[in-house]
Amino acid sequence: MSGTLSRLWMGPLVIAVASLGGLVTALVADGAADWIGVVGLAIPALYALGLWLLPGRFATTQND
Amino acid sequence: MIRSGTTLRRWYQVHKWTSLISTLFVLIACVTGLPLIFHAEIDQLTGSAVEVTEPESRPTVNSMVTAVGTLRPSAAVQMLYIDPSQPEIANLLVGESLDAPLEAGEQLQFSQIDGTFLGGEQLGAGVMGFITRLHVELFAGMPGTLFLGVMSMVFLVSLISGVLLYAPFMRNRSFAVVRTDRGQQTRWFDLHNALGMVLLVWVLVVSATGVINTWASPLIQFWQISEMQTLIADDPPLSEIQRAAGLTPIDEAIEKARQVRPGELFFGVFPGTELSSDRHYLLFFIGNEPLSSRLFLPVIINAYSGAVVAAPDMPWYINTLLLSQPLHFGDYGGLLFKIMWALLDVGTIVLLWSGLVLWWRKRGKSVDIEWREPLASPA
Repeated sequence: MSGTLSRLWMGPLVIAVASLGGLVTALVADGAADWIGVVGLAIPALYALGLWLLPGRFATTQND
Repeated sequence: MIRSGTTLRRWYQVHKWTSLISTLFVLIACVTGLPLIFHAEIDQLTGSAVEVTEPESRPTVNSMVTAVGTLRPSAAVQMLYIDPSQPEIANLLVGESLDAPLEAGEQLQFSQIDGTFLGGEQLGAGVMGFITRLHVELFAGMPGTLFLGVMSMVFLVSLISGVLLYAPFMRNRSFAVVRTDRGQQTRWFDLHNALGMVLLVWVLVVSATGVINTWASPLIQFWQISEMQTLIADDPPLSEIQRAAGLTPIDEAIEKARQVRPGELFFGVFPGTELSSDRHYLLFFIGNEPLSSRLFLPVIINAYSGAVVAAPDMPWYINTLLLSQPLHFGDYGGLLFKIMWALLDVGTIVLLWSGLVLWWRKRGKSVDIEWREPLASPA
């Protein structure tokens, strides 16, 4: 994977794995492990919520 | 990754049109899905769910069936349903006749502690019934459900094409950067890209399981006319004498079924209904494990002799359907999980809205100019 690809996809991959892990873990595990599902879902949810509520936080124009 | 300009433009057209076609319906599904995530909690607050405590000694279901005869003299009991989260309540679905459509029935609730009649509600009635029908069928019955399934498939194509477009436009930028100093169009564009990638897996899962859910009725009907008919084929039709003897009480049928299916009774269908045959109880149990509690374990009982006819495993396509349901409803991980589900749903509404805003502002303008800019001069 090239550097560009790595930069492009690392964030989405981490969030995708967290989402999928959360969804599946809560489904196959018993109630005690529901928190893993909550954490998994919380990562993309908080990211999305942060983007929406705090757009200024991501305001820097980047050229890397 | 897409590098050719022609390929890029083609995928952009795919993304634009699949999004435009499906967005309105996916928006309806997202907005109506939001209250449905908290269906149980809303029912508790509005009093639709009845509180009964200490489920210990249970009256017979047959006594409730007898009570229905007094409460609704012209109605027929079609189905018994026990909500695993409220095992102290027995729900009896009654219709104008045994073979009347189940979705047109009335749900009567009885206490499993003392057999008291707790109340009744027409299926699909009330605000939540309205929202559910809009979400599931657009008030158009099965054609509406299947249409929503097609729209969900179109939306899946939109998601995949969006992923293919993501890389060329976000190359050389940090993940999820939103450039607020480049004007509103760029800001919406970046927000749309970022939200799309953040929400991608969740939206893919909920959309794909939504498509599967739209096939629920056809799949169950297929199982009935194929495998179930094969299973009951060896159980000979009833003689007049057997019919005259009357039905075995459903409680006895449940006891017989429990001997071959340890687990909790989820629902039981009476003979003569559209889900069963003319002479069989169809009882569905669920397991106690997280996964098995989502799968149906059926037992077919001869409603006149009380004999167990079959206790088959459900086929893969029904199990796939059943396992896809929690992944669509988000009802399997507690209240906090539901809150996360709701946040992701709201995020999806913003994603759809940002896509619409982008399209509205760019309509009539050249795709080449608008969409090649980020490629030609990355920020």
